[in-house]
Amino acid sequence: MTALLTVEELSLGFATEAGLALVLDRVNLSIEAGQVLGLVGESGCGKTTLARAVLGVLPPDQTRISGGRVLFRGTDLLTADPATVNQRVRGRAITFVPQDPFSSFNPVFTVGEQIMEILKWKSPRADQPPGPGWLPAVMSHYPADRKRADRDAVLELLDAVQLPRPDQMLRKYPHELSGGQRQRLMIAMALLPGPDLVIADEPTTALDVTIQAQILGLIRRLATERNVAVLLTTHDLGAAYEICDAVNVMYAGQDVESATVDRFFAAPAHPYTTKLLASLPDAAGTASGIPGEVPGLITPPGGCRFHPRCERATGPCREARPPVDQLGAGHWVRCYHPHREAT
Amino acid sequence: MTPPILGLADLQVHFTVRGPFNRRVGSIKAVDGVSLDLMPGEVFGLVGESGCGKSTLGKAVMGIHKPTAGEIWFEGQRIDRLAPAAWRTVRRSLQYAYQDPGASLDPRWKIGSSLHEPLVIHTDLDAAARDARIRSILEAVGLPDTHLDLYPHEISGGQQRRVGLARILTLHPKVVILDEPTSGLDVSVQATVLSLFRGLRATFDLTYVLISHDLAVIRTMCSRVAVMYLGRIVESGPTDAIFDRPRHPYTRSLVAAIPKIGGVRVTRTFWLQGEPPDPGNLPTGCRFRTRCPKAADLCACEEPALSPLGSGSVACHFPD
Amino acid sequence: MTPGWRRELHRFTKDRAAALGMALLLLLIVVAVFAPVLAPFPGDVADFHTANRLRAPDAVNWLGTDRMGSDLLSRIMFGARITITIAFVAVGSAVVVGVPIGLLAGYYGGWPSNLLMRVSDIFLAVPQIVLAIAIAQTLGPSIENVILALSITYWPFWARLVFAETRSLKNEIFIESAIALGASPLRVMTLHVLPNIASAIIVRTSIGMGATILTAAALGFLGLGAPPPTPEWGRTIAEAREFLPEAWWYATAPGIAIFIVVMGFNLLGDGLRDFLDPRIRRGAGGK
Repeated sequence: MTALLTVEELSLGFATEAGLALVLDRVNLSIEAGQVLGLVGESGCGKTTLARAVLGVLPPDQTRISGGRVLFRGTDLLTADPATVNQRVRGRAITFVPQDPFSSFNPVFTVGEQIMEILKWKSPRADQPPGPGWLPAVMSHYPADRKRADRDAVLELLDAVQLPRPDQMLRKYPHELSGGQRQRLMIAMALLPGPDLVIADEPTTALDVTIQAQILGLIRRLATERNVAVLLTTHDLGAAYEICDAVNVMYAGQDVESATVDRFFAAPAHPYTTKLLASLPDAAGTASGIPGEVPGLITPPGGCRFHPRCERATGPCREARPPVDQLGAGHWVRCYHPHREAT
Repeated sequence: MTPPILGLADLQVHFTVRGPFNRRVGSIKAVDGVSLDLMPGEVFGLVGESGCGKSTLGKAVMGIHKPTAGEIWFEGQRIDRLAPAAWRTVRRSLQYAYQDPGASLDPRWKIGSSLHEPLVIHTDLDAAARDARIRSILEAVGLPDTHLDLYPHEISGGQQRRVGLARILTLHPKVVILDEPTSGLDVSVQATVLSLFRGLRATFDLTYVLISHDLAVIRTMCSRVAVMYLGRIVESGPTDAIFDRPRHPYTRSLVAAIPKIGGVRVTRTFWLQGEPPDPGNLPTGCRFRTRCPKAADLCACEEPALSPLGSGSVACHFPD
Repeated sequence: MTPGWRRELHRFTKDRAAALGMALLLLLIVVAVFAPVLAPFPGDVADFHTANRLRAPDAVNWLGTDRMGSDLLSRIMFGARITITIAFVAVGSAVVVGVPIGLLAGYYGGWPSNLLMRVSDIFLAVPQIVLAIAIAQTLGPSIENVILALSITYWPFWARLVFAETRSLKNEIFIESAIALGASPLRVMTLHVLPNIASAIIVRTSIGMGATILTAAALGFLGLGAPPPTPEWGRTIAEAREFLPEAWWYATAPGIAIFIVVMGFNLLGDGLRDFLDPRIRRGAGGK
C-alpha cells in the first residue's frame, strides 16, 4: 500500500547574505491515510521548512531544492504542473493550520467573509475547481446554490470545532476573538475543503495549557472521524505523545529517527532523542540539558550533524550520514551507535 | 519565626478602559485582591494562564505599574507609594528579570558598560572595585571575561540571557522576580537555564518569585505555589500538595491538562470547556463558576474568600 | 570612535551616491575654510574694477566677472563661507533646541508633552519666508536675521522626530529595565535614548542642511540677507537677473553652486540613512 504522502531524500537550502543555509539534508518522511504523524524537533531543525516544502509555499527566489521528491498520491509535487498543484492540491487536498492564527487572518474583513472566500475557490462541492477566468478573481461568479450548501457546511463544521453560536461568530472580526477561538476557526477552515492531509504547524504553541488540551483533543477527534491524515509539527513532546500515531524526530535539518508513538517513548534509539526525552522534567523534578548549541546551517558539521554534541560519536559519524537502520516494525533510526533495547 | 521578606496585602491593580472622547467606560481588574507572604530563601511560584494577572502582579511589585489599592511590604517597609528617590534604594534589593534578560541590554552599549551601570547608579565603588565584582559575577554565570568588550549582538541568545542575569546580580539583590524565564525556549535549553537559576540561588542566597504558565517548570523549581485565575489567587500551598491533591476545580483542570508521557492520554478525557470570560465583564460571585462543573447558586451570589485548608489555602465553596 | 571606523568608512563609501555626497560636502568645507588661499582674486570680495565688468568666462576669470567687475569664482568661494555659516548655525540651533524638547516630551508624556508638541505645531505653521521678511522689516536685513528666522521655524522638525522616536523607544525592554534598575530620567534620556535615536537625527540633519541652504538662498534672492557687497549666493542671483540672458554666467555659476551643495547634502543624508539602519537591524538580529 503506498503511503498518502512520501518525502524522499529531500534536500534544500536558502540563499542568505552569508551564504547558502543547508536547511534540509536528504529528509525522509511518510504518512499513511488517516494517520497522525508528529514531526518533532527544536527550533531551527527544519520541521516548519519541511511542512512548507510539502505545501509548496517556500519563497521561490531564495529556495534552492537540490534533490529529492515529495510524492502525494504518487505525484511528485515538486515537478508537477504548478497550476494543477495550485488548484487541486494546495488548499484542497492538502491544507494548513498555522502556528499564529492571528496573523493569518485579514484584520479588515469579517471571519465569515474570509471563510466563504476560501470556499468559493476550494469547496469540495464545486464540479471543477474554479480556475482564474478572464474576469479578475473578486468578480468571478459564485453560484448561489453552491454558496448555500457551502454555508451550511461551514456552520456544521464550526459546531464540530465547538465554537459557540456559529452564525454570530461569522460576523465577527479577527481581533474580537480569543486565541483559542481563532485556532478553532483555522482548524475548521483547514477541514472545509475536504482535505486528505492537514499540516498543522505548532498549532498549540501560542495557547494556554488548558486550551491546548482542548485543541489537541479536537484535532485528534476530527482527524479520526473524517479519516484525515495530520502532519503535526511541534517541539512539545507531550503534545506528540497525546495525539500522534507515529513520531519523526529532526535535528538541524536531518531526520534522525522515526517510530510508532509507543515504541518512540518506550525505547528511543537515537542519542538525540534520548537526550531530548531526558530534558523533560520528570516527577522527581530532575532534568538534564544537552551540552553545546544547535549548529549553524551555512557550514554545518559533516556527516551526522549531531556528532559534536554526542558522546557516542566516532570517526564514521563525522564522515558520512548514517543510513536508515530498520530497528523493527515502523521504527527506523539513522545512527551508527543507536541505543538498542535489551532483548 | 522569620518575618516574610515580601508581603502583599489585598493588592489591586485596575486598568481603566477608555471609550471615545477619553471617557472612562470600565475597568479591567488585572489584579483584584491578592495577599501573599514570601519567605526568605524560598522559590515561590505564581502560575496561571494568560490574563490571570501574574505578570501584572510582578510588575506592580516592581513599581512598573501603580497599584490601585492594597499594600506592598518589602523588608518591613511599605513600598507601594514610594517616591522615585526612595525606590532607587529598594531596587538594590528587589530585582526583576524579564522573560528574555538579554533584551534588557542596550544594543549600543558594550557588555562591560551594561554590567557597570547598576554599580555606577547605586554604589560609590571605584572602577577597580566594580571591575572585580563584575568579573566574579561573570564567572558565576559561566561567561568568560572576554565578553566584556563585546556588543550584545556579537554573542548568542543564550549568552545574552546570562549577561542580563549577571547585570541584575551585580547589586547582590535579595529577591528576584523571574517573569516567564523559560517561555519560548526549547526543552533542552530550558533544563540548562533552570539549573543556572538554581546555581545562582545557592551562590547568592536569593529568594525567587517565579512567574510562569508552564506547570512543569513550576513543579521542578518551586517550593510553594499560588494559582491565579482572572486576578485572584484561587489556591496556594506546597508544590506537592497542589500537584498531587489539587483542591480547587481550576487547579484540577490545570493539572489534568498536562500531558503525562507514558500515562493515559489526557486530551481524551479533558473536561474543562470554553474559555475564561472577558476580564472587563466578570461574572458575579466566583469568577470560575461559568466553567466549573460544581457551580451552584451559592457560587453566583458570593465570591469565595481564600481560606486555609490543610497545608494550603483554597478559594472555593466546594473544594475537593 | 568605535574600533574599525576605517572599515566602516570603507563600507559606507561603497555606496557611490553617498560617497559623492560626502565628497561634495568636503569640497564645500575645504573651499569655505581655505577661500582666502584658493580664490584667484581674494580681494574681489570688497574691491571692484568696473572696467572689467560682465566679462564672459576666460582664462583669467574662470567663471567670468559680475557687474562690479569682481571675479565671480572668488566671490562664489567666499559665498561658500556664508552658506556654511547659515546652514550650520541655523540647523545647529534647530537641533539644539528641538532635540531636548522632543526628548522631554517623548519621555514624560502626559500634559507637558502635549503642551510642548502643540507649541511646536504653532511654530511649524509659520511660513519661513514670511517670517524672515517680517524680521528683516523690523530688525533690518542681515545674515544673523536670516539665521534667526530659519532656526525659529525649523526646530519643530527635530522636536517631532525625536518625540516620535523616543516614544516608540520607551516601549523597548532595555529602556524599561534601565528604569527598573534605578537609572534617573536624565541618565536614561542622554545615555540610552539619545544614542539609539542618533542615526535618525543625523539623517534628518543632513537633509535639513540642504533644505536650509535652499531657503537661505531664496531669502538672499529676495534681498533679506546681508546687504551688498556680501557675496551671498542668492543675492548674486538676484543681482544677475537684469543682466540675463547675455551675462548667463552671472546667474548660472551661483545657481550651480547651490545645486551642487544641496545635492551633496541630500545624497549624504540618503546614504547615511541606508547605511545606518540596515546595519543596526542586521547587527541586532543575531549572528
